[in-house]
Amino acid sequence: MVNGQAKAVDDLGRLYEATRDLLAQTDVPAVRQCLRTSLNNLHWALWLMGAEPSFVPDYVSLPDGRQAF
Amino acid sequence: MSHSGAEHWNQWAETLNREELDALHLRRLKRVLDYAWARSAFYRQHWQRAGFHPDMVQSLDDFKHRVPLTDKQDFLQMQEDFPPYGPTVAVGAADISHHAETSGSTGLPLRIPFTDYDTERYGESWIYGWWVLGIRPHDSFYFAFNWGNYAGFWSAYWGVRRLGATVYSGGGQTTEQHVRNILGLKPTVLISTPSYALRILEAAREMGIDLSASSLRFTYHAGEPGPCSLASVRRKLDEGFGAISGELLGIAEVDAVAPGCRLRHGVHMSEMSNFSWSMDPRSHEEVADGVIAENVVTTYANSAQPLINYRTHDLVRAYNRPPCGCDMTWRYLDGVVLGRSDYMVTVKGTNVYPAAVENLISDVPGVSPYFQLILSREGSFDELLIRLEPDSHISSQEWDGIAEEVVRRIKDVVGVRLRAEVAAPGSLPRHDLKAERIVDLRRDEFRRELDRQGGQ
Repeated sequence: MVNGQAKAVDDLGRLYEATRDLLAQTDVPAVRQCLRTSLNNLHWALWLMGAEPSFVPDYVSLPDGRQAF
Repeated sequence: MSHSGAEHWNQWAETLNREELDALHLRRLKRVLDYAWARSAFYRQHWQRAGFHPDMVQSLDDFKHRVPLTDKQDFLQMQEDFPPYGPTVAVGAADISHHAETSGSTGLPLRIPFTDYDTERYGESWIYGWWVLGIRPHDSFYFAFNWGNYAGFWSAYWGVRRLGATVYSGGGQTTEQHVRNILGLKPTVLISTPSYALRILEAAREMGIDLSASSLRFTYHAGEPGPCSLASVRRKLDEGFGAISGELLGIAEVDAVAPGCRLRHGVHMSEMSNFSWSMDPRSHEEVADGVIAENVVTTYANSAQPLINYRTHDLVRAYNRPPCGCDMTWRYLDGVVLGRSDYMVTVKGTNVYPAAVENLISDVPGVSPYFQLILSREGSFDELLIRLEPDSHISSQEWDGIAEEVVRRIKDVVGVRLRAEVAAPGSLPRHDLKAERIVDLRRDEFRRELDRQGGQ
């Protein structure tokens, strides 16, 4: 990794987890949508820097419609 | 802080060495396998039947040789049996944010679901090609595209949004209106199929307008062989628009898989959003760099309908260590797609891929981008006739010489002597979306028989 990239990945990872926790606690649809978009972007930023917390952000539902949160 | 001067959209990722890229892929492919096993009824069943489990993959060789191949027909059949998508989907219906379809140019259209996240990742792939050509967030894109279900240019739209540039929609416009819009809106990038860009140039000439003096600085194309595949198309586009033309290889259901190369003699695969390898279509063995073989792809950009070890049937000359001369390290497809493993004809005992013949014709000076390959059946044998239009500035005395040169080059490279005839400039059909250069006059039963021989 280039200079500073490991720290950036670490910081992004913490932001990702904090955003995921916020989403799990939020039930306002408009705010949930903002947080889902943020999770997408943080997840993709991690991927583009060589990290991958999972294949997709954790909110993505299962085929039977069940959601993690 | 401005980053528009950077040479790459993602310098670190685009210049990783092969060993680093392979290590990244192995981790990511394991993620994809676990994801599909947990979520896709299709993959679980497909793999269990073959005695495969994701835990069996510990290396890229394991992945290539142990993960069962998939093919478009698998997905088409399930969509037919259980519409709209069948058991291939891996997410709930509420997370499908966009529906697209393949253009159906090689058969029935395939339905393609995307999540919101998929559209972000898919769109991103375009940007790598744009950026190395010099396109930046301050640029503005004119889409000469009618926004149907065709996935290709929807993904370019997602890419422009992600780049942070401006979108001008040309949906629902006539070719003449496109010309007027280009003059009035002053976009800097034109997005269209290559053949439709050529049609726009012709319309402009008929209107007495020279688009080489317009605001356009770049044109970018997908959907059919373009400026990185065909030299004559590159020359025509660059000269006609007074701009730099680029090409992306997209596979609608997979990803904008190969976004381009700065030097424009091929394209690089987007290794942030897919993994691919070259397979002999008959033996299914991996082939070395530079050997023409089928491109087999696994996408990271479609989580709604994962495609894993997916046969594209595109024949490519690929290099995992690119020889093109630019500094991007991602897998390189020299000449883009050279043919189809499922579309081959045998002429005078020689196997001929029509797409490879297209590439050869295009390289002959004086040949316009308008030509046809006419397939017919004479008795027990296939015949292939080339009908070509010379460039409009070529005098009629030179036409026969150009046709002879086309025949000679094909004989030298492919090993078979084909017939070529010259059509008057302007007489061959022009198309709005994809150029239909191959005219197959054979009866269906002969096409199926020959396709099976070609690569199944």
